[in-house]
Amino acid sequence: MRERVLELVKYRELVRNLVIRDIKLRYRNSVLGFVWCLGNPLLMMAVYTVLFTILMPNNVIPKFPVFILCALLPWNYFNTSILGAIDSIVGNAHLIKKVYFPREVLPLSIVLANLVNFLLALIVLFAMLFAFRVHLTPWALYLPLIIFIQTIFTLGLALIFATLNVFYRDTKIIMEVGMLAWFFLTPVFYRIEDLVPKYARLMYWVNPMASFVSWYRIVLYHGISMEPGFILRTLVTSVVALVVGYFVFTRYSSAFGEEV
Amino acid sequence: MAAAIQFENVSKRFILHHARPRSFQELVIGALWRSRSREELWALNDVSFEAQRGETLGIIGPNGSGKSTILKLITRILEPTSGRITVDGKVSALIELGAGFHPDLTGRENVYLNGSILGLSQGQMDARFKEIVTFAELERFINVPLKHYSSGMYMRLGFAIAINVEPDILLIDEVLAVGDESFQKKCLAKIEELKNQGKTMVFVSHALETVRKLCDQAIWLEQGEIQSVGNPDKVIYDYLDDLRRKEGVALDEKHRHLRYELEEQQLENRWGSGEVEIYDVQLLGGDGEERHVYQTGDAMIVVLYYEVKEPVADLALGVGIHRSDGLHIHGTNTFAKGIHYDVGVGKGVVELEYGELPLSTGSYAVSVGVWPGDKWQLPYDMHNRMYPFSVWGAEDEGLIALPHRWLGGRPLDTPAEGAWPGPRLKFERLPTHVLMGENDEHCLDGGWHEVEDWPPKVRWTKKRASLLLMPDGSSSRLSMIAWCPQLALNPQSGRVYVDGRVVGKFDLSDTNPRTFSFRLPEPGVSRAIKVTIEVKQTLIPAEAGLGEDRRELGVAVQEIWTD
Repeated sequence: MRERVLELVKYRELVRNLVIRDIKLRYRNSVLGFVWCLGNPLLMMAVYTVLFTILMPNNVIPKFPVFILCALLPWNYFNTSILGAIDSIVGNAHLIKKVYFPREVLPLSIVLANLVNFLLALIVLFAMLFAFRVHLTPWALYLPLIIFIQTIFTLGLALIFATLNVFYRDTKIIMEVGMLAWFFLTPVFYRIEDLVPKYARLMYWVNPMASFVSWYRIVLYHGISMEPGFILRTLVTSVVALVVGYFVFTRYSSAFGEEV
Repeated sequence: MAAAIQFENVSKRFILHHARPRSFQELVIGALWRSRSREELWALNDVSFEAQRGETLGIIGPNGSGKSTILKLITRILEPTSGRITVDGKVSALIELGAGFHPDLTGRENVYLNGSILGLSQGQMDARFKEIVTFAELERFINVPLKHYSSGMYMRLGFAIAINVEPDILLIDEVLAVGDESFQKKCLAKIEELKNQGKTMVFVSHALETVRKLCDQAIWLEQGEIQSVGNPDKVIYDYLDDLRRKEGVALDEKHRHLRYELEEQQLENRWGSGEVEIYDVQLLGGDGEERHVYQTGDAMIVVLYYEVKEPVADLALGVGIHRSDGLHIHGTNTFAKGIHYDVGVGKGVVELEYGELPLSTGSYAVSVGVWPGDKWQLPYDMHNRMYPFSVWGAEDEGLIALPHRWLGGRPLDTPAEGAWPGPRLKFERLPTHVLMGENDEHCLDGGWHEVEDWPPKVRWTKKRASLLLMPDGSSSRLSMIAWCPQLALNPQSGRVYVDGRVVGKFDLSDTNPRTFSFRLPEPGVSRAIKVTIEVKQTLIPAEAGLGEDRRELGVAVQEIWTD
């Protein structure tokens, strides 16, 4: 295991180059190019603002568009990472079959590329928080920690699904629907308190993403503190996910060459 | 020397999933649990070999014998099912050029990305970038996205990267069909250069001749098992020998099949009126065994079994050879040679021997026929190109391998007496022992008169005469048999040099042949040496009033040898 990690470190340049490639390619043939990193969340924001302040005003939750965006951006980061990573091995079959490099580089670079995108989108989020006069509190400093833990969690799942998809191509098809279901089971468009109470507790326990989006919301939108137990729990869950994911991935990655 | 690549009892099993569910039930079960109806394929079975650092290893064998699997195991794309593989050094494969290229990225971006896939850092790539671009001849296009490249440019870039990442181990699969001819030459030169730098290479090819030339060691694989390993000449011989046997069997079956069809359908490559029938034809090697693969220079015997069914006036039997593209290479018949056979009813056999097939590598076919006298247009039985055979071997180009030998040479601007190293062309067959006849003319390096038939044959030297010898590696002495001009007034003396160094003196006072022997300055060498004989004074018989001979004579030399 130690050797594998060291090897991965040796290939950090490749990870970096793949992340750069991914980001460059995403906007390469568009007219506006990098502007889209910001433009995309901005447009999304405009849509929600029009929808929830003019067409369908939500009077229960104040500043509803920001409320949504605080959860939606982290969700998008998770969603695009997982869906991208699922295909990262199979979709790069031409590479896997022809060149050797540590295979975990591929899902890792996808997650990291999405992380970069997410960080850029956060700029828009801050602009919106400012525009809607949400006052940031020192608790917002938790943000890097939250992002870090979420990345660990995402990476763990990405490794598991990427492996599964090599052996069962159904994984991708199932997960496309699965992620939609997961989205609705995550309190992005609603408050977790709106659920029937017993389900609310259950959701925190079985859906780590619910914890994450709530966390973003608590420190940014509400600007209040977090329970330490809550932090610890998500951290443990995420580390377990990563360890299991990495274990599964390395266990089966030697067979990728002939299975993709 | 340390092993760069080591395979210890390596086996590789592939599992072929027969993924075709036959019922809905099976489909569901299959989705949950991978179907049990799977087939195992042992691509490699207990394979062990080593390639030393700096060695070039060739792998030969038919398709599907496991050659590519070995390459993929070396690159770690595949992992062995059992056994151990040790690879020491960075591996670069000229297998899939440009794997990982992205069409939307520019050449420059792809170079860096590809470099990092091959495990190089940014800094290392910076250092090589210029060389790669120059090598690929893509200076003008390096900032253009790859999707605008032609396939040739694409391949060139891939090759340039693969070969410039300075691998310790280079894997080369099949023919390098990259770019135009000049680029190919450049690639081969670069490969040669890497070989000279002591890089380890593994070369997979069907081109036996290239393997023979390029490799220090060869492996012949067949169905995942090593059949033969070691000296390329030996391995290739084993491989071809086996091919001969197998192909012989296969072709025989084909023949039987063909013959059957002929009887059934009267195919157009056999025709005739039928009074005489050729009912069997065999191609034999010099050893009398039937074979269908020959080496250039092998003997081939064509055996015709014929049956005269109705009495005929005269019959001519003919044999021809065509190249696979239809070119008529040779034809001969008994009538033209004035050979007449007994034409009574009954069976007979005729053999035609080609002592040495002077054919180049390629596929050929024998035609046979029997016809009345000179009327070949109206045959009794004609088999047009029905007996295929192939020839392997000659490095020469062209249609036939004309018997030839190179005699060496030297630059014209260097005087014959010029300093060693002399001839720039290597003398391939320098003798260890020179008799002064015409046969050894090619090793004389100037200063000699014409051969004189004075049984035994001798040559007169001028003031200085040189020749080239090739000691066989165990020689320590240089010897010569010489004598004075017959009409010498004074005793003749002189010196003998080897490669410009004096090795001894000789004194001659009469015309009796004398043997002189000198120590070689470097005993045991096995390269060409230049022997020079220099006499103190020369004699011109005519000037001395001794006849018409106006030649300047030194000493008469009969033999020179090393032992």
